[in-house]
Amino acid sequence: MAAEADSQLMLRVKDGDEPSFALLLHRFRVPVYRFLYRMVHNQALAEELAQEVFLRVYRARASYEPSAKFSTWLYRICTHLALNHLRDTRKERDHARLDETPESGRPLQVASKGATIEQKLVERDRVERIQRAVDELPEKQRVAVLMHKYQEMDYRQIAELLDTSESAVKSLLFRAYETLRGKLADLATTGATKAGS
Amino acid sequence: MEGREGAMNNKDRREQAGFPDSLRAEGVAPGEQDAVWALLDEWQPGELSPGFDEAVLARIRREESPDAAKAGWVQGFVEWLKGLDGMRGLGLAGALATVVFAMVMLRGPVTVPADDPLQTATQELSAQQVEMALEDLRMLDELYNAPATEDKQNDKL
Repeated sequence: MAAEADSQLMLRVKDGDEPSFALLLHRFRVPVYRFLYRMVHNQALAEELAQEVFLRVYRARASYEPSAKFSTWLYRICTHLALNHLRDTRKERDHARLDETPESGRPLQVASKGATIEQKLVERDRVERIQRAVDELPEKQRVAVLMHKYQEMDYRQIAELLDTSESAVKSLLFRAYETLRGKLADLATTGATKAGS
Repeated sequence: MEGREGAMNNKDRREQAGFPDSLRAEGVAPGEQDAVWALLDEWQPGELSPGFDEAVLARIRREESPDAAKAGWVQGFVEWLKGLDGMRGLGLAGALATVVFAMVMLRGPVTVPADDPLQTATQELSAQQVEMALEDLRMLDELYNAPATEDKQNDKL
């Protein structure tokens, strides 16, 4: 129902209805920004790319056809932009990673408020390890995990987004979650212990 | 909540076992995979800036304005040039120099067509100038030789 509404809104944008675009922008700005943030790990950059995504949506309004869900079309633009950016800046990021400080462009959010500095540092370290583990996944696996886990996409949508089959998506996700389980096993254990105590 | 992520996380929190059965690995305890799935929830990005919508709409308005349409590609090219870092700038300069050099080499030396009126006039002018110069030299030569002959005649006398 919501997806139909998104497509309907986009069709109205195609007909020149600007308030419909503002509504779509309002509806998708946070998920788009969060997806891009998880791809590029920098708040300012994620916002800039998110702006570019919506600009491209607006520019492409005339050619929009509601053949797929609006969100799939939107995230396809997001994914292309993010991956292109990552490919273009691979060398710079490798250099930056060498002299990176924990504060550099990474407003990592830790769950607990009112925790001691030590607890916050431990939590920060946990989040950084999770982030790194996802980051180290191959491109397609990473996109599939982000779309599946955080954007609530089903296999069919992810398959459309990545131009692949549903079974290939299942295989990608299976391998990705297995890798994550291997890398984050100790964190999962301590997390479970913490939750249990 | 804007978007779907919040709704999904709430659902996950309610169910606490959101990991799909279809992806469950054999020989892995159910809790183990679910724990990793839950662990991913700990990674939450910072908040989006408050003026985000306005910034996007302002960029669209700028793009839609007639001035922007005129400036269009020139501005885009200048912005792109400004965005280049040192190495890329050098690379671009090298590529441009190669293109210019290749164009010069392909065109070859500059030749003017034979029936060019300017070229014909220049050729005529040059011939006239050479003739006049030769005439001047002949006259000078005669003037120079004339007194010497008279002096010889006077000596004989």
